[in-house]
Formats: sequence, structure tokens, C-alpha cells
Amino acid sequence: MNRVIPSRRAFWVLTALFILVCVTGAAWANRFLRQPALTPAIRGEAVARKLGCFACHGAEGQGGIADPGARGGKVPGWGGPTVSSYAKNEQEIREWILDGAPRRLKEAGAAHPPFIPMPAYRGRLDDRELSDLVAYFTAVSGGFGDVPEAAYEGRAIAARLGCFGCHGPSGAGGGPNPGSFKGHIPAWDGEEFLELVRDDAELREWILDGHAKRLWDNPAARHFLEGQVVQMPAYRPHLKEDEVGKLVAYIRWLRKK
Amino acid sequence: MMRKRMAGILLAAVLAANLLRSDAVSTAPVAPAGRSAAPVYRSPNHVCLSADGLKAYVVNSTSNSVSILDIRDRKVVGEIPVGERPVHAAVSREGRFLYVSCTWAGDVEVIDLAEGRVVRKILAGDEPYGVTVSRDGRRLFVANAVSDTVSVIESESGKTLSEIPVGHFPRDIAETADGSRLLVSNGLSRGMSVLDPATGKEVERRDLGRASITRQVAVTRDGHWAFVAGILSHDETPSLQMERGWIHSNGFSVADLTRPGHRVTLLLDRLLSGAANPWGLLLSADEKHLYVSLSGVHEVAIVDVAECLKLVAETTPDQVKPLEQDVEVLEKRNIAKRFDAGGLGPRGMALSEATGELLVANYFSDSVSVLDAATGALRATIPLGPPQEMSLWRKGELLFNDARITYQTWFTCTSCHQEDASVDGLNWDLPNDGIGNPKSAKSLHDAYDTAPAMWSGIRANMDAAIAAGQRFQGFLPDPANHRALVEYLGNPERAPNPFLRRGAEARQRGEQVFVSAGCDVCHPAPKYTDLKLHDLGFGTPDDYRSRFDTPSLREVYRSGPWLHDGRALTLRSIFSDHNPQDLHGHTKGLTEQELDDLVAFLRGL
Ligand code: HEC
Ligand code: HEC
Repeated sequence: MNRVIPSRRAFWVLTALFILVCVTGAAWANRFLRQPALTPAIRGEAVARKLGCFACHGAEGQGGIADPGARGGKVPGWGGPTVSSYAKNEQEIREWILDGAPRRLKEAGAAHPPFIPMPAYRGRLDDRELSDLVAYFTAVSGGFGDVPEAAYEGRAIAARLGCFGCHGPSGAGGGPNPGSFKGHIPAWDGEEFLELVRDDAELREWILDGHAKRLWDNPAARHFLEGQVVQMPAYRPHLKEDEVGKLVAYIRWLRKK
Repeated sequence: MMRKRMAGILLAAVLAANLLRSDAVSTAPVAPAGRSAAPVYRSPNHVCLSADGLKAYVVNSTSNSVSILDIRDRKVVGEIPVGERPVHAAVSREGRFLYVSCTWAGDVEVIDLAEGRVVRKILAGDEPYGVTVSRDGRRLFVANAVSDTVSVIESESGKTLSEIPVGHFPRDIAETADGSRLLVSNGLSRGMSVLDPATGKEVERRDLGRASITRQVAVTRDGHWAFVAGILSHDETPSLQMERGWIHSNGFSVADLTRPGHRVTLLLDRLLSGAANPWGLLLSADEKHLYVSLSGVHEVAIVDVAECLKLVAETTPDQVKPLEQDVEVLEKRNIAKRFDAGGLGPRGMALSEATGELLVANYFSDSVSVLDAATGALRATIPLGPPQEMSLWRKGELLFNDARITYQTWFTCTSCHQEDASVDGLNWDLPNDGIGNPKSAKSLHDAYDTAPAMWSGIRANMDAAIAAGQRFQGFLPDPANHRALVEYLGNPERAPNPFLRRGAEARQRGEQVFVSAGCDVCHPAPKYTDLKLHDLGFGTPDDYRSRFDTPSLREVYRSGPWLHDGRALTLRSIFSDHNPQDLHGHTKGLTEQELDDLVAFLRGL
């Protein structure tokens, strides 16, 4: 059998290819390693942490500590269904935060004042902190207003499948992820989303296969996709076709808001 | 309120004036409050006979009066004003008094027929509907539709001897000849109550299978057989096809009272034409014929009782179900024949043995028709007043009750919503929001100002829902019909709330609970809905959606069972049993007293 010795020409071709890969790889790395701008909701989480909201309302506002004086026996969480009997609209959320209760309830006179009162934070946070905090609260609760049916059901599916555990409440952006493009699990909105997801077809690929084919086929991008500590799961076996549609509708609705 | 009372007084005056003129047929209609320009219709709901069988007393439900007919002369000889919304009546044994149940007035009014006026008002329960005089004449039995009870009342003193809990929305009562049992049709429960009036207890709830909105009930003299008219509602099946009665079929049930649990249901439909909405039901004195009025198809059925009972007797338990699915059984076997009722909306009937004639109260024609009791031939129609043109609203009411706008006349809107556009208490699997997720029929009284419509909000508003409803019934929406239905449902008629007559303090305390539990966030006054869909964990694996349209709480006292799939059988259980995660208002930890108060408040809405 003849041993094939690479020719000079072949050597140069390979070298050129190698350089090309390095350059594109660097370009990819550069694009993705930029520090992403924090979303208001992510900033709001820091505000909540600083102000001690989670001490009473539970980690990430998922349901609070015992309140033996309250009828329900605990400090309410910030989940949408819970909030729906506490606040009519976003304005009332602001009133809860600033005054410890909305005006509507103060006027009616509480029949059951809680044993652990909700503090009034007026004067303890500035306007930007307040609006970030409300953005975070809105992300946790799913928000007010008229969510279209498909989007709402998409949100329910996302909650059921645990998407928010990685991607943050309402996909507002997740925790650190060493070895990934961004160093954290990306949000479903903003610039970083646009880079990773070009259109609905790619969004479906992410959800069903755990990656977009365009990136998977790119060696440098693939390096990150395979190397990151937390991997995006491929949900294909766990989703029916109409459920994928609803997830896509939800993410699209979030981005339009 | 004031206007209503004024209208009542005016009407009384007009009627009295007419009575004084010997040739009088009351003429001048008086407008009720609310629909000012509309003429007053009489809307006869029931008719009964004098002791000699020669006079008929017609209960006019919307003119709040009783017309007196001379049967042989075929004319109205008098009209007596009574309380609001009379629906049913019975003559005392000696024939001197007429007991008239007035649902809205909330009493049974006693007319002294010699004096031609109401001489006493007897308080029964809430919305007294059917009234029956005991065989010995000493007691009155009254079905209280909203209290879900039957009152046993001493006729002489008007004193309530006992109030017996029965099924939901009791309508009509029959007493066995020996007085040992009362049979009660429950309009919104699928069973007939069998009561022992001596002990004041319900001794059996005779299951009637898929029967729904059952109406009048009769029993043979030997106390052996009971008959009850009703719809058969196939809510167990997705409401996809109405042919062969697969949404509704129509007939009556026969129960052998000597055998607990026995029941056979027979249908009066035909293969290509349903017998929508059986209402009145009576047995001839010789028990040879059973008469059933079919209010949605404007017909009366005459049933051969001997043949019918033969069929019932030979029906083995395993044949009960196939038999009740045979929509042409009585026609094929020549056991029943259907005849034109001689008017629109035939409801209550009376049989004059003296003249051999069947009298039929035709609600929408404002007339009583006289049929030959043997042949079913129409002998005469007696108008209860001068002819009046139907207002658009009235046309809508008629269409709502009329099976002619349904393919093959299988049913009417009222087959699911009752004659007052409310509820039937059943869960229906309508295809409009996907199949396999049945939902409780909603009252239509709130549709006009609480868009979207349906639990899933699948119809943008009432207009769209009415159009869809016409398609559901098998026809393209007809513009004229559509306008009338929009007018009718757009101006719903609400019964006065009986719970407002008592318990003001509890209601006030309940309102506090309502607000502090956060109920008012999604159910704000005055509509008691925020018009939005919410996800409070009520969805089941059958549902395609997690959110449901927030229902209005107006008239919530009469719209049960509650929640989108009717899972709550009492208002209280909505909070005590069906709010485990404390998401539907924070009602966890409410004291018994607070729950009672909350329910009192809700009932008053
Ligand atoms: C000392 C404990 C405590 C702290 C700290 C606290 N809360 Fe509350 N919060 C409560 C209690 C108790 C209630 C319920 C009050 C009631 O039922 O009247 C409540 C109610 C609320 C509500 C309305 C009910 C709900 O859960 O949707 C909102 C919104 C809210 N808090 C937001 C916040 C935010 C934002 C912070 C931090 C800035 C915060 N809370 C900090 C105790 C606390
Ligand atoms: C175990 C954690 C985890 C879970 C659970 C998870 N993801 Fe991801 N997701 C990731 C990671 C990691 C990436 C890749 C980010 C990268 O490559 O930089 C990603 C990427 C994505 C992307 C594209 C990038 C972007 O901007 O978000 C979408 C869209 C997405 N996921 C949607 C979902 C949906 C929908 C669900 C739930 C059905 C879900 N994810 C559940 C970890 C997760």
C-alpha cells in the first residue's frame, strides 16, 4: 500500500483552512463573550435580594415563610394565580411595594391583618430600582394584561417543563453557565437571543434538538455548545406538536411586549 | 320597584273594571317596568278546572292574573289579578278556592272563586312553583324551586307543617291516592323525589337516568305507576350530532312505585322530528290516556296507557337503555300519537271529563286551545285577550323556546337553558372549544354585558355566540331571528332575588369577607366580573386550557352547580372543598361563620 505524502500545495491549503477556522472562531468568541446587558428583570432580582423580599416571600418569590396570623398560614408567593387575588393591575403592585398594601384594601379595612406585615418600602428605593423590581415581579408572576390564549398556554408548558429554572422567570435570563457562549444561560429576549435564534424555525430547533442547526454545523460554535456545563435539553420526546407551537407563541409574545 | 307596583295597581284596576262589564274580556294591556313600550302578554302557563269541569282557570304568568273560561261557551268570563309571575294553580276539593303559586311574589295566593278575588296569601319557600291539594283537601303541597324543598301546608290556616328537602329546582308534585307518598319532579336533578308526607322525609330519589328538566308528574290511582315528563339529555356524548336524538330526545319516564329503583323512559320523538320539551302531563280519569304537551314543537301527544304499561312491564333491566335510545319506539308501536296543540308553546293542560275535552294553555299564543280528548282534533281556540302583535323581545323569547329553529326539531335553546335562559345544571361537551372537555351550561342572563362568552371565552361576545348557537342548531343564522334573539338575550328578565328578603346583616359581614379574601379583584361590582380569563388551578387533564372566563356573580344563587365543570354542588363548597391551593380568593382558614356570611353575600347578588 502506498503511503500518501501531502504535497506542498495541500499543506498550504490546510494551513489556510486552519487560519480561517481560527479567525471565524475568534469572531464568534468575540461576539459571544461580550458582557451582555442585564435585563431590567435581572436587575430587579438584585433589588429584591437587597431589599430582603425573599426573606418573607421565599426564594425567587416562589412562596413564603409561615405567617401564623394570616388566613392562608403563610406569606403569599408571587406566582400569577396567587397574585390574581391580591392585585388588580401593575399599579397595585407598586402600591403593595411602596405602601405595604394597595389603596383599595386600605380603604376597605383588612378583616384579617397579617401577623407578619408587608413592609412599606417608600423612600427605601429609587424610581429605577422600583421599575426594575416591578419588571422582576412581573416576570415571576407572568404579568398582567391580556395574554393571548396560545401564549398563556405556552407559558404554562414552559413552567411545567422547567424552562424557567434555567432561563430565569419568564425567560428573563438565567444563572451562570461556565464554558458557554455568554457565560450564563441566555434570556429569551434582547440582543443575545437575536444572535442565537434567527427565526421561528431556529427557535423550534433549539427547543426540539437543544441547539440550532446553523450553530451546530459551525465547528467553533459547536465547541461551545458541547463544552458548556449546563446543556440545553432536547425536548423532542416530551413535546407534542401543538405544544411546540404554543411555546413559540409564548416566546414570540414575550418579545413583542 | 315603585313603577312595578304602580303597574300592578293599574292592572288590577283595569281588570276589576272589566269584570264589572258582563261581556268583558280584559283588553287594555299595561306595560310592566323595564320594557316600557311592550304590550303585556298573558303567557298562560297552566290551566285547571272547576269542580264541575265546566270552568277553566288559566294562570297567566306575565299579566299576573287568572282568566276564568266558560268551556262550553268558549269564552273568557272573568280575570282576577294575582301576585307577580303566577305559574301554577290547583282547585280546592270542594271547589271554592283556587291556590295560585306566584313565583316572583314568593307566595301561594288563595282566590275565593265566589268572591273573585285573592283573600289570602300563604308564604311558602322561595319561588313556589307546583302546587297540589291533598286528596282530603286539608293540606297543600308546594314545590319551592329555589329553596329545593316541598312545603306541606295546612290549607285552612296556611300554616307550614313541614318543609321537606328534595332535589334541585322541584317543579311539580303528585300525591298517591292513599296519601302515603308524594312524587316530586326535580327540574335540575336527574331523579324524582319520593316523599313520605307523614314523616316529612324523602324516602327515595328515583333515578331517571339521563332525564333533565323534568316537569309534570302523575300517578295512577292504585299508586303503582308514576309518569314524569322530561327531556333526555345526552350530555355524556360530545354534542356533535342531533339526529336520532343524540343531543336531546324527548318523552317521559314511567316508574313502578312498588319496585325501588325501577324506571323505563319512553320517547315521543319520531325518526325525523323530535318532540322537543315535554311539559304538561296528565292522566285521564279512566287512566286510559296519558296526555303530554310538547312545548317546543307546539304539539300534544296522546299515549295509550295500557299498551304503554305493557311495554314497560316487558322491559327487562338490560333493555332500559336501548329502549330510551329508540326515538321512534312509541310511534312504531302505535302507542302514542302527536297532534297540533292549536297554539304556540303548549304548557299546562286540563282534561274536562264533563265535555270530553283537553284544554291546553298556549304560552306564546295567549290562548287556550280545546282538543277532542279522544281524537286529538282541535275543536276551538279561546283567546285570552284581543290579538296583540309580538314585540321583537317576545319574538326572541318564542324563538328561544321554539324547536322549529332546530334541525328536525330535536330541541330548543331552553333544552339546556330552561324557559328563562338560565341553566340546566349539566356539563356539555360542545365542540366549539375542543372535544373531551365538558363544561357546565352557563346562564345567559349575563352574556350581553360580560363578553367574551362561554367558559373558554371562545365566543367574542353575545352576538357571536347567538350566531354560533343558530349554527349549532343546524341552520345558518337568519337575520330576523338573530335580531329577535339578540333583543331577547340582550334584555334578560331576572327574577327578584328571594335572598334579599332576609339576612341583611350577614350579607354585610359577607361583603367584608368578599373584599378581604380578594374576591373583588376578579369579581368587581357591578358586573362582578373583570371580563378576563384567569388560571386558578381549576383546569383538569381533560381541559385544553388553563384559564377560564371569570363568570359574573349576578344571580349566582340560581346558577349552580358551580365552577366550569360544575364540580361545586353548593356555593359553600367552592371555598371549603374546591380551593385547595387558596388561589381562588384567599379563603383558607375562614371560620364557619365567615363562610356562612360570604355565602349569604353571594346569594344576595
Ligand atoms: C416582613 C416580611 C415581608 C417582606 C420583607 C416583604 N413582604 Fe411582601 N408581603 C408580606 C406579607 C405578609 C404580605 C401579605 C399581606 C397581606 O395579606 O395583607 C405581602 C404581600 C406582598 C404583595 C402582594 C401579595 C403577593 O404576594 O402578590 C406583593 C406584591 C409584595 N408583598 C411584594 C414584596 C416585595 C417586592 C418585597 C421586597 C421589596 C416584599 N414584598 C417584602 C410580607 C413581606
Ligand atoms: C437545564 C437547563 C435548561 C433548561 C431546563 C432549558 N434550557 Fe433552554 N437553554 C439552555 C442552555 C444552556 C442553552 C444554550 C445557551 C448557549 O448555548 O449559550 C439554552 C438555549 C435555549 C434557547 C436559545 C437561546 C436563548 O436565547 O435562550 C432557547 C430558545 C431555549 N433554550 C428555550 C428553552 C425552552 C423553551 C425550554 C423549556 C422547554 C428550555 N430552554 C429549557 C438551558 C436550558
